[in-house]
Amino acid sequence: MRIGTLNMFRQGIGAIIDRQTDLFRTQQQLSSGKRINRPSDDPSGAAQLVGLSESLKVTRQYQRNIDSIRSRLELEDSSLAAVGDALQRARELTIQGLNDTNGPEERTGIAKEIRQILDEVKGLANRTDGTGEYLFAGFQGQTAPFTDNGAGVFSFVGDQGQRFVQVGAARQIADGDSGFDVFMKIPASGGGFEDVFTTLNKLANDLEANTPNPATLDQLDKAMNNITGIRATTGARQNAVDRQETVNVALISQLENTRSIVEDLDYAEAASRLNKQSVTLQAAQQAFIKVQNLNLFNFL
Amino acid sequence: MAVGLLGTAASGLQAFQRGIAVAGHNISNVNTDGYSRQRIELGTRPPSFTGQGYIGNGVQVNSINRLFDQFTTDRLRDTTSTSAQYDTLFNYSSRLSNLLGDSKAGLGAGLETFFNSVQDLANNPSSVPVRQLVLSEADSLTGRIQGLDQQLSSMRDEINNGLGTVVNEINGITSAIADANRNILDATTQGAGQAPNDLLDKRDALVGKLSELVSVRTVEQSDGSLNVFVGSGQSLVTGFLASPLKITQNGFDVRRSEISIVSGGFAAEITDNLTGGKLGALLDFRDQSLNKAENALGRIAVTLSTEFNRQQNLGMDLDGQMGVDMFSFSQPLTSAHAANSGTGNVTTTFDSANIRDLTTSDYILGFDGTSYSLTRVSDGQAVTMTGAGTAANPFNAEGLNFVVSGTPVAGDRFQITPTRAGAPSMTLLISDPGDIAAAAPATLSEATNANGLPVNSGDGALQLQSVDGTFTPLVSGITFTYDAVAQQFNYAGDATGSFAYNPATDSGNSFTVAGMRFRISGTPATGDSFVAAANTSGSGDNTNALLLAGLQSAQTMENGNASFQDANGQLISDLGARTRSAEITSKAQASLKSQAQESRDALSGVNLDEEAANLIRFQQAYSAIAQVVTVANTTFQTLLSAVGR
Repeated sequence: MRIGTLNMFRQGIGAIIDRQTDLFRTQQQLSSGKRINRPSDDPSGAAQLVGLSESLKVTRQYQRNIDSIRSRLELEDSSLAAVGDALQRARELTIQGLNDTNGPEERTGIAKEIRQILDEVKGLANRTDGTGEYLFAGFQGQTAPFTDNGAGVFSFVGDQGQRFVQVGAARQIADGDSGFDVFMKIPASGGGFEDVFTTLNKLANDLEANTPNPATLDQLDKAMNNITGIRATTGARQNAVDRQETVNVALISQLENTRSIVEDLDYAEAASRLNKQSVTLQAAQQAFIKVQNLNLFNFL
Repeated sequence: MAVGLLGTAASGLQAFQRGIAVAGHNISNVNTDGYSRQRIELGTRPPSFTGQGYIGNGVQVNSINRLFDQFTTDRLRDTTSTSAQYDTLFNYSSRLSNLLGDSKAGLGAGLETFFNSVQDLANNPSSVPVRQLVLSEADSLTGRIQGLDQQLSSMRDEINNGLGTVVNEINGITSAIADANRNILDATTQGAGQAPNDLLDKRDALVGKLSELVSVRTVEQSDGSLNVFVGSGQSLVTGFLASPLKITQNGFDVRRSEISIVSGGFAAEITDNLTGGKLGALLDFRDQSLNKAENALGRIAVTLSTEFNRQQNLGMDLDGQMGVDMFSFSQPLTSAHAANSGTGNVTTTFDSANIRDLTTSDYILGFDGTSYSLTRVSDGQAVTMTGAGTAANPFNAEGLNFVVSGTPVAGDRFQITPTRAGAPSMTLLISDPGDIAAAAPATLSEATNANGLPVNSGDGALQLQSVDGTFTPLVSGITFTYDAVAQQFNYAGDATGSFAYNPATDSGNSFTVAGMRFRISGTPATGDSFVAAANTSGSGDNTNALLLAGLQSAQTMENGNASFQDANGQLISDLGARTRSAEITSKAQASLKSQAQESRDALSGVNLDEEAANLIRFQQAYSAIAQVVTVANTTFQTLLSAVGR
């Protein structure tokens, strides 16, 4: 077959340009470390990366949510622990006051201490978190939830709302408890309910009147049981948060792994490809020069 | 005799000189595109009769031919056209898919950051800085969507300009071909039927250039002129006459350029018939990739806005007000065709309740004299509409409502581009961080006395889960009271009624009353009551924020089969696949083109070695025939000296 001289030139140059393009692509992959540098490199892989990137970001956000709920639960737990300790102290004082060896003065002294405990528990119940929100106000976080008319009548002005935090794709965990459940919803012996503050106030009143009442001690026990019960659920939630964190960490590493398989470059393969492609380019260039020099006119 | 010999020698000298001239011409044009090598055809001169028989008179040049084959030339032209088409398509497609698929600048990253900020809001619903962050992220999301659309829009301008340029180039070439036809005919007449090789090459080269711009077919007439056809047989060149192409406006959309052919002063639109070459690529890219990408981007913008607004409207903001819309966006674009003769008018709006059914297609609503029918442009399929087309009962299909009015005439058409304007028009409506509705609009709690102490004696609990579109803000609230004998809840207040609840079988189930969905668990006692009230100062409530954040993974698109990010991934993958296919086809066509070039050049291309050999051949023959002149001269001198003695 005849070959046109111009065609020989064109094909030689064409081959060099094609090899250069291949080499450039490989170089680009090596410098970015990515197999997919544009959607057309692997269209379905590119779509997969979009989904993986979102899943990764969302799961990392769940971890952020976990940090936030964990600190809230810790704050709640330490507040409840303090309330529990205070009630325990009140219990010991009451038992001490019930002992008939005590006279009215002693009992008034004990009552004074119980009133301090009442103030302490009230302070804990009206505690705010790091952002200034009342911890036990339900959803009414801007208002102190517990009020006191000064005459022994205590009221809860928060609501029964309980906030949930998203810690996993299908997992929401409550980040606290309403003061309604913690301090108010304590069954009274004779039916109905009595709040912690009223119980403490009654203890103090009885002691001041020198008529300590063992029944009130029972009511205090109920309040302490309630706090213990709430602390147990808080602990359970903390455990659930820890478990979810482990799940999230595993998920993140699995997603990262998949992303790497889809997106990342096999360096060994790419490096040897680069090598092969540069040899091919060199060969094409040398062949071009050699062939272009072959010309009958050189011998005329 | 010597005179005859001189004549013979002279004929050789002349013929071989011509031979050298042709070789020189070939060598000179070794780099000329479209040049076909020429060959000198030699023949014997008519012999002279003598008594001893015919005696030869030397050589003559019969013709100078170009080595040309119509078939290989046609094949080269076709592959050139396809190759140019896919080259151009690849260039534009890769720009588009790289733009939308960029992991940092694309839509994906914007969606992720925005929804992360909504999650932060759910963690901290009363924090004003966190709320402010949601607004800033929402603002940058709309900015990003608008920015992407801006880029698509400038690509559209570029395509429109490109169409104008290509049409001008085509017109230049076709009028040059018409001129070439005239010149070839003149030259053939003057040359007594000998072919004007270089002019023919020049015309073939023009046709080759034309094929790079658009796919054409040619028919050579018996008089040697070439007729050129485009599309489905529209004549671009007939003999000496070229019919120019012209950019015209689309009947629905004046900003959309169409291509028409002007013949006899009348312009006919032939856009849909044009294929191949750069022009085919530009049209294909505009219709198949660019429009689709802009519609897809707009669809995400419209759906995201609609879903977000819907959930906002179901929540309560920091001021105790029901949430207002967060995003605004344009309703579908509807345009009547310029040729409509009736007074019919169509208004299209999104059907928010079925926004998940939106497609990325455009639609044509046509009137046939008795009724309207809807056609989906992407696949040409008819779409069934429900409704009557009135404001009260609009036509409804695929997430759209159509209200028709006026008196249309049979054949009148309306074009609807539902989501094209979605992306550029998406804006943030809220500027007050307090306006984000993070809370549920109601609370549901067990009854208490004036001091907040519980009064119920059973352990039943009601937990509010969500509210739906039928919810209206509570005024005096609703009280649910249980009747353990009848095993039912009676409720009164803003709404009145009752529903059954059997603690043994229904505990943990959800119920909906007055648009509020709630879960009931436990065993309430008779008289136990629960109160639903407006959540006016529930600043710590994140119920609605969680639902807003949940929209990220909700399947709100593609008939409920895709999330926003899924739809974005589909778009990227679709454009990536188009780009990849254009790239592969472009490579394959380049190789076919190179093969076609090779086989054309095998016949028509100049080979310098061959020409060098020809030079040597003719030069040697020339030297040899020159020797004959010397011999003739010597013979004559010998005779002269013999006679002169």
